[in-house]
Amino acid sequence: MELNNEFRVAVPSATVWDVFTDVERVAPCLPGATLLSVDGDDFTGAVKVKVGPITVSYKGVATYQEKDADAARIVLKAEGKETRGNGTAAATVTAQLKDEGEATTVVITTDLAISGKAAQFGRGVLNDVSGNLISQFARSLEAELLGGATTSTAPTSTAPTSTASPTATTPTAAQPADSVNLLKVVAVPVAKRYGPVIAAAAAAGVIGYLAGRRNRTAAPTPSAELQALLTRLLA
Amino acid sequence: MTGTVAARYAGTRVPRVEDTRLLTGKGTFVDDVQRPGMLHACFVRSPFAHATINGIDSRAALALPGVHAVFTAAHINPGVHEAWHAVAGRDVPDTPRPPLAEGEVKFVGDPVAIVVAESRRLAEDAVDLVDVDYTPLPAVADFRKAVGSEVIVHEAYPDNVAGGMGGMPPDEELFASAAHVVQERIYQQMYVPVPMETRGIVVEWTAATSELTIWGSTQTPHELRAFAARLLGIPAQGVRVIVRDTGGGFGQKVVPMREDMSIMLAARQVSAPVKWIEDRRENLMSAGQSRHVDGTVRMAFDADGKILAADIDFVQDVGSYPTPYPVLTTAAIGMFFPGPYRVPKASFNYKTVFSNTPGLHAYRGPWQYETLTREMLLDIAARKIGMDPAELRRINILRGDEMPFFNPNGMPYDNCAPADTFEQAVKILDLEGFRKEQAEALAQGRYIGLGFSAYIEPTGAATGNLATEGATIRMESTGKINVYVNGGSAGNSIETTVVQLTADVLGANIDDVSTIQGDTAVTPYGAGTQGSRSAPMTAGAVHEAGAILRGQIVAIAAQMLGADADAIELADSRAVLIGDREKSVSFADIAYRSYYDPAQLAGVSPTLEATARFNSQAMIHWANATHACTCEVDIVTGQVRLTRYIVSEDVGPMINPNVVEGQVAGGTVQGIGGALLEQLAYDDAGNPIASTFVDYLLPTATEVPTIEFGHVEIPGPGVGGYKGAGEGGAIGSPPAVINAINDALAPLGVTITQLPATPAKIIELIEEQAEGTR
Repeated sequence: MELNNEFRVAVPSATVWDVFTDVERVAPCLPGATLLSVDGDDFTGAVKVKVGPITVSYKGVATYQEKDADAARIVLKAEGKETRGNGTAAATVTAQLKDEGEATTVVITTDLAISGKAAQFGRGVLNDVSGNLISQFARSLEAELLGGATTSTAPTSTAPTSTASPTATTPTAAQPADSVNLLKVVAVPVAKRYGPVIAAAAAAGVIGYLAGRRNRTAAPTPSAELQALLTRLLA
Repeated sequence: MTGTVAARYAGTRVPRVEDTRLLTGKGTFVDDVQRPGMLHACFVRSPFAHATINGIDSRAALALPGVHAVFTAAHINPGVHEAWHAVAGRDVPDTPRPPLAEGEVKFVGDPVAIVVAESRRLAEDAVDLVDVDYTPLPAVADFRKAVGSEVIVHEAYPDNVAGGMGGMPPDEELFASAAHVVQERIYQQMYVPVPMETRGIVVEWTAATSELTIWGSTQTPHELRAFAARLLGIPAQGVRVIVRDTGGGFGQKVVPMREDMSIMLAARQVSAPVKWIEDRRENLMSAGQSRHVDGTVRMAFDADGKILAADIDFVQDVGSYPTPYPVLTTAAIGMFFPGPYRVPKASFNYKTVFSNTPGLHAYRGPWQYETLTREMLLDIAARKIGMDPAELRRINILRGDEMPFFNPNGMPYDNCAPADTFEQAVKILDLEGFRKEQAEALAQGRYIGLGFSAYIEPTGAATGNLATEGATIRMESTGKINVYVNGGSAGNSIETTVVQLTADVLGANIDDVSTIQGDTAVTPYGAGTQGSRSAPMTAGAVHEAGAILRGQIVAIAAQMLGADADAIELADSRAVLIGDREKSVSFADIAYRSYYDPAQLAGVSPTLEATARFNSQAMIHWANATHACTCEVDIVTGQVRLTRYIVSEDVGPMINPNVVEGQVAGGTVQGIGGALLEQLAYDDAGNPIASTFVDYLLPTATEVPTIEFGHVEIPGPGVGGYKGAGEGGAIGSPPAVINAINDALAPLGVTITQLPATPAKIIELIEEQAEGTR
């Protein structure tokens, strides 16, 4: 299925480009995911989503398939698999930047293929809420662009029902030999039916809050600040 | 003569004997069954609509403490001996139905492996640890695109067509020349029975004695037993099925399905009883599908509106693993399309088509697409001809004095008068009054509408194992009476009605009669709850066994009273001398004499029990009904509010009007859900997107007005004249609701032909029409 979203940030397109092509800067703008490793244009990430009684955890790989500065277009390709269970998610995300002087409009097209539990929440739901999440992403991005602090930009939640608390987990002690240095992930409080969008976003490789700080602090858990933000965002 | 008995309880609103235990929470459903050392099973299910299984790694699951076994197709499927279902018979060329998916998964939810663990929680955790290596394949989720698709569901069916059939070809000349011809393409969405209790089974294999005991949630205890014996290749006398309360089946629990097969086979391989209880998501995702049909229907009329011909051409979705064989049962849609009308010519043609969705299973009136399409088409025709839909039906509907009447497909209608239920419904409704109110409402900008739906329905069809039913009736040593029938309490109140019938046939007080059902160890074989057969068939069985027992009671009483058997009548749990009512003997005394003092019987047999099998000589008991529904449609929001709902039915004499009305109401509400709300939707990739009650919307008391009943009681051909009542409500209501909506929206030129009639769909059509006429 295809999801279409668009947002505008009050930052020149060259600056947006810089952030968008740096996964460690762009990833923190999306809630609920963890960037696990970066190797050039390839990176790995994980996300855990709880939707009502259903929990879905993915881990997977993503790649910048295209960074076309002339066309101001970025294409990300990502694939993930449930860590428990056999569902999958695959996405190709195209971000098209439109230079508007002091501002930039970003058009995001997501070609998403999911299977398993998350796939069963429905396309209508995905369409409805992806706009909300993208607008949050945009605000966080703008904040990152304007000064790097995300807390001041948290918007008022429009999500209706969730009362779940965020759960921080510890790094896994032992990693399977064939995986990279995985951290366990952050369970974000999501409103009912928000899971697939987050999953999709994660699968698309736009992942993780920790990544940006990983090198600075090596903190394996998300900050209380982030949890508070996410709670307000999605509760 | 062995003593006549006047009906005392049949026909009355006897309170349900099931209610005390059910309403106090003391029912026993399959999940209430606990066995020592019992283990719990949970299925690993496919996340893909279509994929190759490259391998299954169970090591991590098996390593979890408390996990006893993980079974895959390689462990389970070779255990199958025979897997045919009695309703289809042994010799029908069946479609594939492996217990667990073998090599390939064919729908989301396809069972791939079974985890058996010490608790359900552990089993579920372990399910997530079973690593199945899939290669996803393209899927064909929409059956309308399946024929000729490059995606093939079953290799043996390269065109994805499971089968099909045609009747007489349509009379095209007539359709070309008739005064009025209407044609419509009508699509009914996939919707399902949704029993309150999901599927479930407990299977206990005792190797030392070669005994298999099954506790089930089923409509057919005896056939579950017979199937288990066939499946496992063990003697049926070693198999016992015990069923107490079943929380609704509606067709979904008529035949054992792949999960049931899997658990039976798995239980042979573990040394403990195994319980499987389906959760709601599994039920909506995997239990099966029904109602999913797309077709084109036509009718030709003369200038006065008399029907000249009816034609139906349709395709039914049978999903991946239909249960049982789907091709023949679908024929009923074609055969019954002419309905309760004077149709001189009829033709039908259909295909049953595989898709990557769960398999077709029965659902209350499985052929109801014939009524849906015919009744919708009649309303559309009436508007085109310029008649009131009621008038168009009135001039075409069959009267009692026309019976027997053979419909053009050879269906021998008899013992019914569809015109009588129709006129009764019109009268309850006050048609003229409604049309006046409708005109006034329209003048105020309000859109209210009226829909009719009439149908004729084959109940208690005497086909195959459905033609016979057994009963055992025993007078105990206290003079109390137990009646044993296959039954099982699946919500159709058969415990109550059997007690009523037994009390009547024996002249017993109803408080002296109890019933034991659902345990195959003590009840005679019966075909269970399906095909609207319980009333006519069980009444026959009780009648036969009761007549024998009555003779035994009378013979003993005659000896005790020193009178001729002919002079004795049974009433109020006593044997009474006709002509000298002072001389009588109680059932308690008769039983005491027989059990404890038989030497006094002077050689008269002390036997006080009888078993008999009823062999129905009536091929079909034709029930019929007319539904009338009124509604108001909010043309801004698309919301439909049902304002009145009338059902006038003829199920023959009613054993218990409460039970009949309960059956009719339940079915009617399921049909209202189908017309307005319920849709087991799939996306293009074959993902189920209504696998919880958040998305699968059920009707509640909010959507349903008080149902007003009218009864016509024309005796059927069988014992007591009883006809079946189980399925009719669900057949009649969808078109009545849709027709009411279409009637309300007629001033806007809008006609719903694609179900369900959701608010979004209604608004879309209103807007399309507004744009088209602008």
